[in-house]
Amino acid sequence: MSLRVFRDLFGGAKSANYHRRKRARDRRTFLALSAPGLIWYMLLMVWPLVYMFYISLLRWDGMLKPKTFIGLANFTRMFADPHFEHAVVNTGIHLLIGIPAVMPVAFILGFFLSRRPAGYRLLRVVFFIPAMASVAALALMFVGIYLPDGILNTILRGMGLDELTRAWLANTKTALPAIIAIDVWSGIGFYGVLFFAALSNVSDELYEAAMLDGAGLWTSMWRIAFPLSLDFFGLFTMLHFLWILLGAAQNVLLLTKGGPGDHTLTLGYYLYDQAFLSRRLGYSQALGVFVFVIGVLGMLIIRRLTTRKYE
Amino acid sequence: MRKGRLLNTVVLLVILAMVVPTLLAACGAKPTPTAPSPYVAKPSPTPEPTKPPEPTPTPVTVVLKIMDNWGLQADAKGPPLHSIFEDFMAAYPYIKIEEEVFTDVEIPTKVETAFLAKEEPDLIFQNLYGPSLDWIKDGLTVDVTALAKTWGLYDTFKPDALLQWTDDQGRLQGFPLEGFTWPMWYNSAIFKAAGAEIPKTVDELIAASQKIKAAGFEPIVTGGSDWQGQWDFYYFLAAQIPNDELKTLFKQGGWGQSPNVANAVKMFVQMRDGGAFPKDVEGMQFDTMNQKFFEGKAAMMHGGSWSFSEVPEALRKDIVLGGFPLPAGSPHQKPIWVAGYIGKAIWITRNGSEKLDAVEKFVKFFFQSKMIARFVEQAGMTSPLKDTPVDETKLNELFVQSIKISNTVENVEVPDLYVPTKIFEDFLKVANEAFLPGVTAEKIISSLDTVYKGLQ
Repeated sequence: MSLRVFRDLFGGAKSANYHRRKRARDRRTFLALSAPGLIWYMLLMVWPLVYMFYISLLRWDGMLKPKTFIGLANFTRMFADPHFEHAVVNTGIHLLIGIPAVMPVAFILGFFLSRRPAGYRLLRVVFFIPAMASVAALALMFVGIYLPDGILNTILRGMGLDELTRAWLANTKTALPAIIAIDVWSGIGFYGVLFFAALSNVSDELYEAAMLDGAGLWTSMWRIAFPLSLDFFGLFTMLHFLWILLGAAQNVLLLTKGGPGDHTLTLGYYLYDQAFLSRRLGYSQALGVFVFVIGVLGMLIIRRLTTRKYE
Repeated sequence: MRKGRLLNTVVLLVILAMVVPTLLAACGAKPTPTAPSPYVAKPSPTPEPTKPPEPTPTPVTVVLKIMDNWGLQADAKGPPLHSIFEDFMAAYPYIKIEEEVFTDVEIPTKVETAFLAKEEPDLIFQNLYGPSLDWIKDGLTVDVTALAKTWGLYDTFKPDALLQWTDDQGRLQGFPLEGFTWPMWYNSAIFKAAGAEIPKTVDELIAASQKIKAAGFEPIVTGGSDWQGQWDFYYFLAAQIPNDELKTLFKQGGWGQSPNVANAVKMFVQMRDGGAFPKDVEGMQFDTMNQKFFEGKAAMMHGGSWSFSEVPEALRKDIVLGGFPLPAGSPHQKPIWVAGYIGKAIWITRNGSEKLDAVEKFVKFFFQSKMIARFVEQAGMTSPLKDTPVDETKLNELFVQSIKISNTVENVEVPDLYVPTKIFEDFLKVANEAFLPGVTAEKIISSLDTVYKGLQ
């Protein structure tokens, strides 16, 4: 046994030097362990973000073309671009419908699963299926539903509602709602399972105490479970917000490519279109900067609204 | 604490013992040559009067990387292409073909990204439009004029094919491969059922459309939201605009100043609002168009020769190919169609130019008339060669019909060769928007002019 250990065991005061060396050692250990992650993050997250801002200031009409610095011209063009305006409106509609349609329903579903009804294990898997299927598989499934001779129109005809049948993805009035419906359908199950995981930590005693006080299931859900899981609600809302802002472009790419006209053109898809089809790399990154700013603002607002206030 | 340090040291030494030898084995060791270089002659063992014959040097295996979109499952040109690859590799066992298949829309991005990494394929099968118009200028591909002449291929191509693939600086951009025709397809059975005649003028077409709709069929089906609708829009305009003017408009714009354009766009809007197209045409795509026509639900479509082999057997006898009817005052003498050779060529890339020996063998093998004949017989492709003997019993009947009508129609220009790359996608999108209900002729023309302002 070393002298130092003997001293510590029998209550001897540790020297200031010891504490200083220990802090320095802890700092070095912390840096050594977190350095790989930090370097990885800098290279793959921060650097591309900085580069995106830089490219947004360039005219760059293709990967093999020269770059020219043009300042804020891409942004000026963006705010005068009618396609951009349509994309903002469509994305706004998608957010305003998509988030309220998914999050409360997913929460209710998660609460229901957390009460562990009969067969909840199977239900959990069934609800998570959309998350396990690839985007392409989901898109193909919905093509089959939305085709003029697809499942939806067949059901409507069977119910004698022929006048409601249409080419859902081709009609200017129904194309965007059809795209939004895919995200709502897949989002409810996915976030429902996530809410189940979050709500599983809520103690049953709280619900029992509430029931003793006369609270029903609905009251327990919104007055007990919801406040306790508000942080998770905020987190999942942020995730879904970001998905709609950027990830939902995949469905547009696979199903409508922004058409008919601009009726399903979203910011995420327009960014892809300008980068890879129109080859305006500088302009596409200006769109990326705009989307980034909207994304950060949106997340801050959601965070503000869903932070638990402790009194 | 000493024990902790000792343990750390031992663990570190163990890790080093595992990792370092592995790294050394991967990086340091050089492969031991197992055989002498095939091109260095072995010395003769003894000075005998009759020497044993020298062993034939074994050629080094060369890999030719080829990128195309014909290998996709639905393409009728895939099987003949792959059969040529197999026959070539059998004839030249030391040349291996590695094929990468992407859609033609994806190929430019794939190729350009690979080019930046110096990993582009050696040969590309690609159309001449949009991004590919700049490939030779950007150094991604090479001018093949001298190669075609040296390899004895230049004079085997049809003059039109060479002309369309030669840029304004006299450079042959690729070896022309896919010729095509793009006529109007008329389902004579539907016309008969509707009591209408196959139209020869636009007025007759609009009148026939009314009868066809009344009989429960769609008149003209097209893909208003994708490339099919884009090209169809300009095809319909071309019926009213002389070819030379159309070329100038495609190159430089000025759509708002042309009375022919105003009349042509008004005619298109009249057709759209008069019900010549099906409901929701603005959201339809090429696949929907084919499906509706092949199911016998639509009377007319502007279909390409690439679809000849996909037509159901039962429908083929009812299809009459022809040109698009002419409006009153049209500058053309005959119904119009589109025909050309810009469907596909074989481009040689920078990497491919470093393997010219293998590339020469491949290109010469590929462009033998009996090889090109496979595409003609199996996929209805128009040959780019002057002489392509084919087995006429194997020819698709629609392909034969298209040859027969070639003298009864007049060819019109397409935007591919003339619209500047910088504005090409925006130019095409105006065509899609033209199919939207309520979009006026003035708005369409104004949108075209706005697109060309992007050139300034």
